[in-house]
Amino acid sequence: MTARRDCLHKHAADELDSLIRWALWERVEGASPPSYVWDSIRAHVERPTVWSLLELGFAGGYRAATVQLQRIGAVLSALITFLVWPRSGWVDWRREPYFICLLGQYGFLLDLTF
Amino acid sequence: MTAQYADGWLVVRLREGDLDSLGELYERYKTLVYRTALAITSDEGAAEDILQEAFLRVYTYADRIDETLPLGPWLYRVTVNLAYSWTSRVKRWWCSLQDTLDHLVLSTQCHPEAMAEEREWRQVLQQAIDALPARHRVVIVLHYLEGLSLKEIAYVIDVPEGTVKSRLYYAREKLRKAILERERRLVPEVAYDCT
Repeated sequence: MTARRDCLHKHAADELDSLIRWALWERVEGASPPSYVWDSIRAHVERPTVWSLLELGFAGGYRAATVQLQRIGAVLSALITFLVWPRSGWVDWRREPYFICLLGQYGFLLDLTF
Repeated sequence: MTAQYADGWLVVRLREGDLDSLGELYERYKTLVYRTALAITSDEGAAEDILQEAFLRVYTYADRIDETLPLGPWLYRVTVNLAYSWTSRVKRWWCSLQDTLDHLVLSTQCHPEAMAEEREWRQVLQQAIDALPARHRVVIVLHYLEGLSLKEIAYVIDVPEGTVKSRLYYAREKLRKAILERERRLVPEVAYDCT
């Protein structure tokens, strides 16, 4: 019985590694999942539940909304460039309340999108 | 290499709705997922649930899986994440109660003549592995049971390689201490018998 302890001191690394490997293998040796697990997976996949259908519907709706928001973002971006960007001379556009408001809305839309 | 391409081909077929491809992937990887989940959770029911959930994710997220890469590492990652979730859901009081009961049962059977040395060592080590924090247990299982390299483990659990190395070191140290502690408790009795 004491031999194991001695080994642990003398050949510490190798002995400990082997012991750990052995203990782990002992636990899972020959372990195999029962056949009903696959039956259950197949049943889930073939007969989607109400919840999974709702989940799919929600995901689809979210994707569609994201695409719409991206389009709105692109239009707004072009509009801002056209209306606000100074075309002649220096304008302190960064302090323009209209611009700040538009920028805020655009930022909010980008947040929603990504 | 052939297996890698075959995985990718099956994933592509699965995206097109071919359930037989999912069955083929399941047959190929079911033992790997189940064994890893069982080693981390020590619970057959949990391992079955994790196996089921992992393959439902393969089905659900087939379009996000990179078909040019082997499926194994992706499945390891999903399995480990699901096992983490499971271990965090399990109530601590239940674990403590189970540990206490195991300890009581073990101590009543702990006469050297009543218990074979190998069985005892297995129990000691398995209890010590179970007592490790989940993040350490995962690294131990992936390294010693699944034979993954540090780099592969780093990919699976999504941490730097140095972190894996340090977790492995601390986990080994904890196991070593647990074994020596157990020895300290058992040896005087045995030494008395021997003299």
